[in-house]
Amino acid sequence: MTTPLTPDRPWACPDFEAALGDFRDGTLAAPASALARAHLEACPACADLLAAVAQAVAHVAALPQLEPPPRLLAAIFAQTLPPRQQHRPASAGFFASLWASITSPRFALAVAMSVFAVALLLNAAQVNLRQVSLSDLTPASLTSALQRHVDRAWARGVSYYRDLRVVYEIEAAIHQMRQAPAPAAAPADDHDRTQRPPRGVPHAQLALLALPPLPPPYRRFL
Amino acid sequence: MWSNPRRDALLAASLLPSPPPRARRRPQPPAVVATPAPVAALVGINVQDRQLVDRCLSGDAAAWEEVVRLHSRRIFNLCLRFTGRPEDAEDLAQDVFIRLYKNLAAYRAEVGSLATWLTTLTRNLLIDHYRRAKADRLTDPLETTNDEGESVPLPLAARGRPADHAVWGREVHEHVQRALLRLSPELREAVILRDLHDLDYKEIASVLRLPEGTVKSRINRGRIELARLLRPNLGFMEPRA
Repeated sequence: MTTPLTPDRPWACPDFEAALGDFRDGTLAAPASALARAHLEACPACADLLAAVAQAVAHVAALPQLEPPPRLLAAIFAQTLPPRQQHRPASAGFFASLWASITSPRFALAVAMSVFAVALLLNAAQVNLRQVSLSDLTPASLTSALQRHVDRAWARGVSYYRDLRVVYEIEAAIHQMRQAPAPAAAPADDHDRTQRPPRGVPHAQLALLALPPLPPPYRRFL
Repeated sequence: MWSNPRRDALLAASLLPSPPPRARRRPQPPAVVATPAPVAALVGINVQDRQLVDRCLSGDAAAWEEVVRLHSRRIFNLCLRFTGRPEDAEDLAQDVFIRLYKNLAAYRAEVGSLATWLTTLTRNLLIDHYRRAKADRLTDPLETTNDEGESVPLPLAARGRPADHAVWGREVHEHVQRALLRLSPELREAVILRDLHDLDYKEIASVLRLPEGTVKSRINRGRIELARLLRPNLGFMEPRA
């Protein structure tokens, strides 16, 4: 350390601060040490600083040494030491790795998903596993069963769509607009008879009856 | 101090079989010539360190575990006091030992103990980490500013002294830790190595690769700055009689 050794003049505070470490350690040369003591007697601020430094050093030294978490050692060993499995013989390693693969959660999940997908397909193809025969599994029968299933789903969808109140009201309005140029002025009693819906017919079906015929592929669903 | 032509010549002349291959995808201790250092030149703990490192280089897992268990606590605490964050300290300590494992063959027992070498390694990583984390570094202040923008010490003592001695002790330690984090990294590392890890000036000079005079100066300046940061609350921090 560059301790200012200036015995020809009293020390100022910066001189003392620069030599404080050596002064505490007792390694200051005798003339400089005398100057430091003289400065301390004359300067309460530096005396306070010396006491504060001693306390600060004591507080730092008293900081507890914490134990590293166990996972730290585990992480270090995992990244440095080779895995213990490598010491096994090769034949045992193959069966052990096969067994480990089979019993792993990932494998179990994959099997479950496969079973679920196959069951879904069989259900869609209407294959009853209890009464299944070889002819049920031919491509033609599987395709026709699948086609039936699709057709039925389509019919249900169309029926649901046409039963919607909004849909049949719009379609009825369009139908009325199309019928607008039709001959007017029928007798009042006839008008009532023609416009009154027949009893027991649902409102949705009335609207459908008023619609123009559907195109050929979808007509059979109604 | 790490490049010594005479030592390098001695090392180059000494040939030992390289360590056996280790696990795949694992950091490998490089197949550098292990160093049968001139044992007469080594003393005390360095001989044990040399033997321990040689065992590690020959693939002895137990020796490596011993190295980690011997030094992990000290390295973890060094990282913890420097960074102030346990999670960072954990990551850094892990990096230190992985780097040590990769560079075991570079250990020179005649230069210094394994502990000193490991501390140098840690210090380099800490400085790298400090530079990387400069932007989001902890800025928890010991001092706040008042309405006039003047610096006002954090009123630790104003909160009152906790009745529980353990709670008080924790608060004091946290306050000292925050004060350490306020020091510049150069002063902080010097103070931690001297006052917390109790290294002597020569060892610190070896770790920091600085002249002893510079080390003494940094320690002195660090302590003075720390004392000024702690001074407003020193009364609170004093134990009850």
